[in-house]
Amino acid sequence: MLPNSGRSPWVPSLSLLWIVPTEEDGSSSAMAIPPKAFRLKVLVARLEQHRPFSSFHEAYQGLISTLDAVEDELTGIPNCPSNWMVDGRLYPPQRDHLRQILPNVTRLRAKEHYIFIGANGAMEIKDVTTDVVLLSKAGTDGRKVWEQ
Amino acid sequence: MNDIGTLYRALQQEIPGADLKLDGPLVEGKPNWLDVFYLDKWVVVEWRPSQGFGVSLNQVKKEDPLEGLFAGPDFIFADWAEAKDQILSLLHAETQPEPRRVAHG
Repeated sequence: MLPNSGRSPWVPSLSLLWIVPTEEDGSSSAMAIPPKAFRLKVLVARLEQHRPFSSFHEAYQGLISTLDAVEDELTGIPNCPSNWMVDGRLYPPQRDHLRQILPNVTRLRAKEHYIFIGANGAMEIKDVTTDVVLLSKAGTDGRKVWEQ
Repeated sequence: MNDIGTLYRALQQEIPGADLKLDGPLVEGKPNWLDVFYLDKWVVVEWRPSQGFGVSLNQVKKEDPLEGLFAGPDFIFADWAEAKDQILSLLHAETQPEPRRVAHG
């Protein structure tokens, strides 16, 4: 069962969207790779439900490992970053895009989004132009990125 | 001046009405982002010092705010002048081109 926290208004019931075709003998048939939009919703839902992270390093690694797990499970495409242009898999932004913008806040820029990670493990994903917040997760101390 | 700075200056001269935003200070050896807003269009440029420029036309208004998260660039260029030509082409195009991923240079 895929997670659905219900906290994000644009996340529909993922368990309803992800229907695995089943053969008469009970085995699952080969299925098409779900679209990126669906996989991203799964990613955000899993991050929301993940236990709070306790540090920048843990949150950053948690983001990468959660994305890798979603892509491994839902696409089956080998994790081979050098194939990013052609393989259709989503890969995390490279670490050299990290910028420390405040003593307690590091920002990772992606093409259309900012990912803010607090020293306390808090995480926020935000659209660059609209400021729409897609994920706002507190660290283990209960504080969100901008509350430290 | 590094290549992203050169591209910034060239775009300033070619389209003075555009709103250009570098994502942070130019630091030697560090990648950077350049957002180019012109009329109702938004082109984002990712620059990596040893690899060149990733150029994408982004949706300013999206139905799904998650769209584009962790997506790579649509075009890649080794040379700033080629990247500039593509940016101008995207900004001046009447219709939105089909996204495609092509490496140049």
